[in-house]
Amino acid sequence: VRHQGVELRQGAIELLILKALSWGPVHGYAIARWIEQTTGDVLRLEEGSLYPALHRLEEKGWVEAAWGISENNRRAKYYSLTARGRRQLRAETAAWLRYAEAVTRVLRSGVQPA
Amino acid sequence: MVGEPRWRRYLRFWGTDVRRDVDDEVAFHLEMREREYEALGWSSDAARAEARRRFGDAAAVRAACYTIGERRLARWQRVAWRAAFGHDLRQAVRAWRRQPGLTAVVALTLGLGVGVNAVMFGAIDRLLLRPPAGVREPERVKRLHFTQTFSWAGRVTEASASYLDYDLLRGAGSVFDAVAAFAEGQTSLGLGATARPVRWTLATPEYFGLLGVHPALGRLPAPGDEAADGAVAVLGYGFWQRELGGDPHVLGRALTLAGKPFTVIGVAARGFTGVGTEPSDVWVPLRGAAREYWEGIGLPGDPGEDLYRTRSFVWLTILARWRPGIPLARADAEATVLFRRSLALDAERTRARRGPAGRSVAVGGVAGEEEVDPTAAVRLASIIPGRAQLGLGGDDAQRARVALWLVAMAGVVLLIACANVANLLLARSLSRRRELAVRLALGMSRGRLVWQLLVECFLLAAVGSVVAALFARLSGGVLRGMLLPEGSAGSLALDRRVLLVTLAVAGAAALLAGVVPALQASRPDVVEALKSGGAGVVGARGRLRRGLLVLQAALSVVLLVGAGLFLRSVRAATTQDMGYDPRTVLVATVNLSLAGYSDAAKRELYRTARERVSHLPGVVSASIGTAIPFRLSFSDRLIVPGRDSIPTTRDGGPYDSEVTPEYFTTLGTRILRGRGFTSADAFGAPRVAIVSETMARLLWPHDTPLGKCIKVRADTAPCSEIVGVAQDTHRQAIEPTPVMQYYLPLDQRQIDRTSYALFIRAAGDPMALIGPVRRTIQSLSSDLPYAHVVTLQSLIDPSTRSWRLGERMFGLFGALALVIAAVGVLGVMSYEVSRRTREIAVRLAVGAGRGDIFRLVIGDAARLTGAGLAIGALLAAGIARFVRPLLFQTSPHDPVVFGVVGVVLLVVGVVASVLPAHRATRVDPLSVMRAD
Repeated sequence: VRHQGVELRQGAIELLILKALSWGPVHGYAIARWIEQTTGDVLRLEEGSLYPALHRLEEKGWVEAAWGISENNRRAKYYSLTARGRRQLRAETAAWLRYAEAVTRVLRSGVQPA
Repeated sequence: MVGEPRWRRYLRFWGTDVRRDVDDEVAFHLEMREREYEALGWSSDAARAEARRRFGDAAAVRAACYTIGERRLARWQRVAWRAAFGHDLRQAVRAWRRQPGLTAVVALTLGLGVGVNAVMFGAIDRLLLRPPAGVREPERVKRLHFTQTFSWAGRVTEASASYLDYDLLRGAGSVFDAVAAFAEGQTSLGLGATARPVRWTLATPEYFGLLGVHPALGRLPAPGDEAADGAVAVLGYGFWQRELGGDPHVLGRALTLAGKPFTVIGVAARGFTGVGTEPSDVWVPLRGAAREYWEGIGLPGDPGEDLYRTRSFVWLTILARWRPGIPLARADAEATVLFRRSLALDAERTRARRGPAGRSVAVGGVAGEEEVDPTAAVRLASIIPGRAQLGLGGDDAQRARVALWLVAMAGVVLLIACANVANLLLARSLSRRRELAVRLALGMSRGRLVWQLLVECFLLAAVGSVVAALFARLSGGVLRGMLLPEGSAGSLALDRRVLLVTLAVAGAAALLAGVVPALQASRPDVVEALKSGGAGVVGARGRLRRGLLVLQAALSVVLLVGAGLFLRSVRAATTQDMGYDPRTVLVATVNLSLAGYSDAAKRELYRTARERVSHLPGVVSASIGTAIPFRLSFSDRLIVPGRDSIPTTRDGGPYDSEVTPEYFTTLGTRILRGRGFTSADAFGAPRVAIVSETMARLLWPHDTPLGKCIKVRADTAPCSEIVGVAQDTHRQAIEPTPVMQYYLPLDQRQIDRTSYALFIRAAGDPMALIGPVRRTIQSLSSDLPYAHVVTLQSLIDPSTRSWRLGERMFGLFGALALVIAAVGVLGVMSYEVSRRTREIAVRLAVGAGRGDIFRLVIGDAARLTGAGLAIGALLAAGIARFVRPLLFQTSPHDPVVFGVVGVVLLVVGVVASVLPAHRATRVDPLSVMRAD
């Protein structure tokens, strides 16, 4: 998945989606908008790639979907976290932060390798 | 973002149309993006283009989503179906558990019917339908069948040929990839006290390559291999495991087979047991063991190169690997040309050598032909035994045909079982009318109801299969023992093929037995059923049930008549006078040629053996003879002064046997005129002979044969005076066939055969003497090969096998059918009684006696059975015509058989209805009336 911004790995997309759903049911477009706004357009992904990721999450049972009516009165598919999805989000967030902190610490380090 | 979970109102599970949902979702996204850009003042074209650009490859995204969605849907459907089926299954289990007795009877009936089929199929499959195990591309491997016309036997097709035929057929390289020949038989492994019998196959070098068999250990002989004609041996995997404990260092070990040492060079692949009629333990090169093979059969003298250069010895089965793309007819034609060339070559060579004292040897009734036969032909036959056998005449085809009859019979038993099960299910569905009506009234669809009833049937089939598998396990050994040739018992476990067939048959049976009741049950008149509580009008259904009962009885009659006809055949075959008493006589042979005995030494050993054995307790008398009924016959040139030629009979001859004086009393052959041999008929004494009745009649039709002269072998031989006439004996066939036989005193050595057998007459059970006799012979010398001691009856048995098989199987199936039919009568009559309770109550109320009621029910049962009997008898009489060729001296319309079967069936029908009839007499009119 590549765009002008930073490259995003499969796992990262799924994590972002889970996070986006943590406030309640939303549709795919809203997730795309949320990622765009929250990251200040740094992580610009091909929006289409969200959908296979969403469907995979649904298949895994972390996310469930239902058709609803959008804010502008259109039929849209809403996704929400399942209990398992929520647990997954917690676990992956922790793992991701640990990983990012470690990498950041290394990159910021002023000590030279022995 | 929606604050309010209003969407929940629209909650539905995954839409059924996966693709449309994905399309809608993607379209929604693109549209939202587009509107956003439009709101920013973009032109609608630019907005659309930008939305699409940001989205990426929409087609790929859709495709990915379709795949995921469809996968999910499929999985969900499976889960849902399983859940629904589980529900139906639980429902079915509950339904059956409400009537445990009925359920047991139904499952048992079905199980027995299916079980019989499974066993039958298993046996037939192994016997006839399956190509030999371990053969690569068995459909390309063909056995060659040879057709010839003989003056005395007409057109004959046989599976055996001579080495010369094989030699020439190898030239058919344009139609065959390879040609091989083999012979199989039994021989002795080791010598002396530890000697034991093994089955061996003599094979030409192409054998293993042609069949595509690989070694499990060591190597296998191949063309061009020096060892391929030498004294080497290949062990069967089973034999290696069983007899040698799977010894990994077996290669290079020497085995003494037929008295000759063979070096083990390999073990054949696991599962391969040869392509002959019986599994083989050891394979040896044909040229390396041919001499021992023929000595084992009792060939007098060394055949030398005649074995390979003439057609005097017809002993090989020829295999060919049919080349792909060659039409079968072309391969046949090519092989036929070579076969005729072989016949011509044989005639030429035989003529060139045959002098005035020409000598021909007939073994097993086969002799060379003099002229090239224009009808001679070769046909490529399958190596699947059933297919090959049907193309042959004689015993093989007979056995295959009997097996097919047995399959048909198993099918009939299944049919009876199905009729019974259908009947019981009908009764059950009638008693459940109320329940079913309620269900329909509550809005259950008819399809769903039928489905549930079918699930009940399949559950029944499943239980039935278990019963069937148990039955097959328990009875399989017995049944297969009757069907399969001895020694090939192999594994009795149900294999996958048989199991699949069982399941398929059970499923089909359940469907057959369940569909009618299910359809009927789904059509109850709701209002009627609810009102009358199930006691309403049942006319049509009652007729169906009674019809099924009649059908069962009729089919039972067919099976029982079959059993009776075979029983009569066996009786006729086993009680006829064979000219000797096979049941009390033992035959002992030990192959002394293998141990290198000279002829004089052989005679001496047999004499000593006769002497010792005749003193064993339980032995009446013992005698030596050169020919053995049903195994070995000899024929030679015979000159009768005053006659130009000797008439021939269909089976050839005249056959000779050199015997000791006790021979006739030992075998129980009566001397009709003149005298038997005595010890005075010794070497140097005047030559004497005894002829058979047929020989006497054919040679001297108007005169007494006593005192006449015959010359054995040559014109120049001195006269042998005929001193007695013996009754005819069966030489080779169960059917009485006229054949000329004569006997000569062994001591006078007029023909000097060098193959001997010891005959022993037992006072009591001959089986009990087998051990002592064998031990006595074996103890005579430490270098003796295995001594075979068998009853004379066991030599004859293979010839009566098909009748005995038919008797047992028809009997077994008939009994089974009878039991099932009896259960059917019981069930139907019980139901009739409970259905007619009101009628019976009324009858009682208006003055009928209990006896009248009893007679009413019994009479009804007798009528039904009688109808079945009549139909069955007609059916059996029609079918019996086709069984005629399988019977022995029994009319297919034997009145005794039909009469006995009729009585048996009527008795069973009446007895089975006693219980319901008794119950009918105990109906209490008052309580019945009040209940209404």
